[in-house]
Amino acid sequence: MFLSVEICRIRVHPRSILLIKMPQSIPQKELQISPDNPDTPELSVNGGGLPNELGELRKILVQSEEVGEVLPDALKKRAKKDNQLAEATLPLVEENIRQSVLRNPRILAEAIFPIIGPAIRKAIAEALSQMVQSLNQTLENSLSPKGLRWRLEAMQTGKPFAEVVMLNSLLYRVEQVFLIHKKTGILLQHVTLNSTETQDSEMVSAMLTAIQDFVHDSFQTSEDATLDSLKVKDLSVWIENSPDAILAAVIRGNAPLNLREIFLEAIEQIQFEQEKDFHKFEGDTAVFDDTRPVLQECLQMQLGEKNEPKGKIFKPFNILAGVLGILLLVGGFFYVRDYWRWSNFVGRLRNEPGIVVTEAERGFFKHEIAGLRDNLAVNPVEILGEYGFDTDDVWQNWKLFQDADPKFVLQRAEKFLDPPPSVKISFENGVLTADGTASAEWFTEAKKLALALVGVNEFRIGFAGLKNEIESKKIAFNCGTNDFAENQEKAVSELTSEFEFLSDLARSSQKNFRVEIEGHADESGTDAANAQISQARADKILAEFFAKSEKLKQNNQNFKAVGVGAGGNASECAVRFRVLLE
Amino acid sequence: MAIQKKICMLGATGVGKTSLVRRFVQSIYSEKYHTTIGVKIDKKLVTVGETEVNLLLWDLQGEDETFKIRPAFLRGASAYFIVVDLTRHETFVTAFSIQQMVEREVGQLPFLVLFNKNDLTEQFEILPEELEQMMKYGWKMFRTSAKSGERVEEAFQQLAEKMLKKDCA
Repeated sequence: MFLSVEICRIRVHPRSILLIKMPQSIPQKELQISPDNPDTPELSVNGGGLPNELGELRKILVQSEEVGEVLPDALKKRAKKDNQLAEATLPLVEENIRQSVLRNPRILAEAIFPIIGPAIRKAIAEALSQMVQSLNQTLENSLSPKGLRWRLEAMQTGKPFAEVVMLNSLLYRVEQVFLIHKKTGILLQHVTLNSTETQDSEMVSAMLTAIQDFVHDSFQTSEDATLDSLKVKDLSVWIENSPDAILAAVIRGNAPLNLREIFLEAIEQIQFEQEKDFHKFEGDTAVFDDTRPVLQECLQMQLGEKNEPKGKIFKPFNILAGVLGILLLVGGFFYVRDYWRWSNFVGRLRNEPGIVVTEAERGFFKHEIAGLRDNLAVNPVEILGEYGFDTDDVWQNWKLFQDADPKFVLQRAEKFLDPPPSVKISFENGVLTADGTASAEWFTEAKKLALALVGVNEFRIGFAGLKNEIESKKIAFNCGTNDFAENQEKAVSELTSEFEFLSDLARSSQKNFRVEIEGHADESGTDAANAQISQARADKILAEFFAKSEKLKQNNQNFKAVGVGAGGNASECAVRFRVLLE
Repeated sequence: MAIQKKICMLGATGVGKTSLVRRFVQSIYSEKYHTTIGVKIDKKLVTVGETEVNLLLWDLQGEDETFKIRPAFLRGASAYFIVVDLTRHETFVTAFSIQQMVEREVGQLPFLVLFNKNDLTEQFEILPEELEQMMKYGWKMFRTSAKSGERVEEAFQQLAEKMLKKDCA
């Protein structure tokens, strides 16, 4: 209920209006004193007798004095009940302050100076302290590997380096918070992180208070000065004081100074809410259970680098590490591939005939290989490509030599002996054999050359080819006669040469030969006739050979003409030849 | 939940305060705290009626010529022991000065005087008459022995009861 007594103005004048607002508790009464108002009492300025209304006015004034007497108590009781009184008076108080400042700012400034002065000093001191802490950390971190990484991060994100350092440095957790009764040192409340192991918190709390007193006494600090913090390695205890309580927070790691603000707010709130409990504290700590949520809020934790936003993986360090990883992987792949290729290349050369590898070295940029090489062997330069190498990749040094590999011996024999198409040469177990028909000169020359070839121990002449050649031929006769059939001259001529060659070959290879000239007949005649005609045909051929070649004539003992008639393997009008070697 | 109370152990140097509590209390601090910061905190749980009382024992460094008790350590105490060594008369004198100092600094509080080393009968320097005189002051006293543990538990119990009754005599 709002009470007000407002007397605007009372002027006793014949034409004035007297307006009185009555308190609500008193029946409202409004008096209008005016000459026009028939109810206006007759007023006299000379102090003549007061009318009833003025008596009533006096009564009202007396009542307002009575209200004034009860007002403070009434206000107190109302304020205890709820905050409506505060709400109602708030605009009035605000307006009063505004008016006071407008009229004379000094009054209010002087009034609040004792509060604002220390507050400003503390704020400035904390700001400076934070700045120094930041500077120290910056200096400390500038030259470390971590610092360099942070510099990269600063460049990438565009943030100032100092800010990046601060962000990365905040790695701490508040492990325990003690609320201690300042006067007795008794622990009122204690909250911890779940994972924290603690000593007997009641004794710790008392000891902490003792240490505070000890520091205070020992160093003769001013009355309101208290121990702010204790620090042991990465563990520190930050202490905040209120008039009746101490809040001590045990922090592991490097906490930022603005954490103090959280502690300060907590202790101020607790002080405000529990002030009476502090004063009448008799050892029962249960009344402080309500402070636990506030203390729990002080168990702050910052995981620093682990707390970075997810997905932000493209940081310079990660990129660098990624690139290095890829390079390592690619390098590894090329290394292994190169190793594999080189091993295969060298292995192939080692197995290749005509090549002897004496040295093979794999270098980082260029490989080296050296050894002996037959010029008939495969050319290493040509097979480099098969193994993925360029000629620039491999330095090669091959000394020429001749390999006694049968393949190469034969190839060299073909090259140097240059046999005519009718001659076939072969090589086996150190023996080079030339078989076929060629001039005796060729054979003589071939023998000399062959023995000069590496790997050839012996040169032999092969008769098989010549024998086959001769034995495959025949001279045809007109049947029933002893006359050559048509066009036999060429065959006779060839055979003459071949027999000459055979006799030369036999002589040079110191062999004996015999040639049987077999005359044949068809079955049309009698056996006797056939025997006779076949003999005649053989004789004729022999005579022909002797006629054509003096050489054959001189070797006549090697030739024998026989008539076999129409029997045997062939029944034909022809002459065939059989060569026998001994 | 037990109520918490701060109790001080006072007395001259070497009267056996620390020995007196060593066997009867929980402790996490070593005795070097006496010489460093002048106090060591221990804890003792006693039950008075249905009330559990957690006594936080501020075992203060013994007072002598060179070291005076820090008044700050007395602040907030609910009761205190004064320990006297029966074999050293000067500790008896110190007890009086300590008691006066406490009253001056923190006012009247319940307390008990413990006459320790009661086992060393032959070496007593404090005469029975002096003890009787002290009784006239109204001081409550116990003869204890830290060595045998004689009446130590009882002393704690007594002090707790006096403290809850706020019996300052």
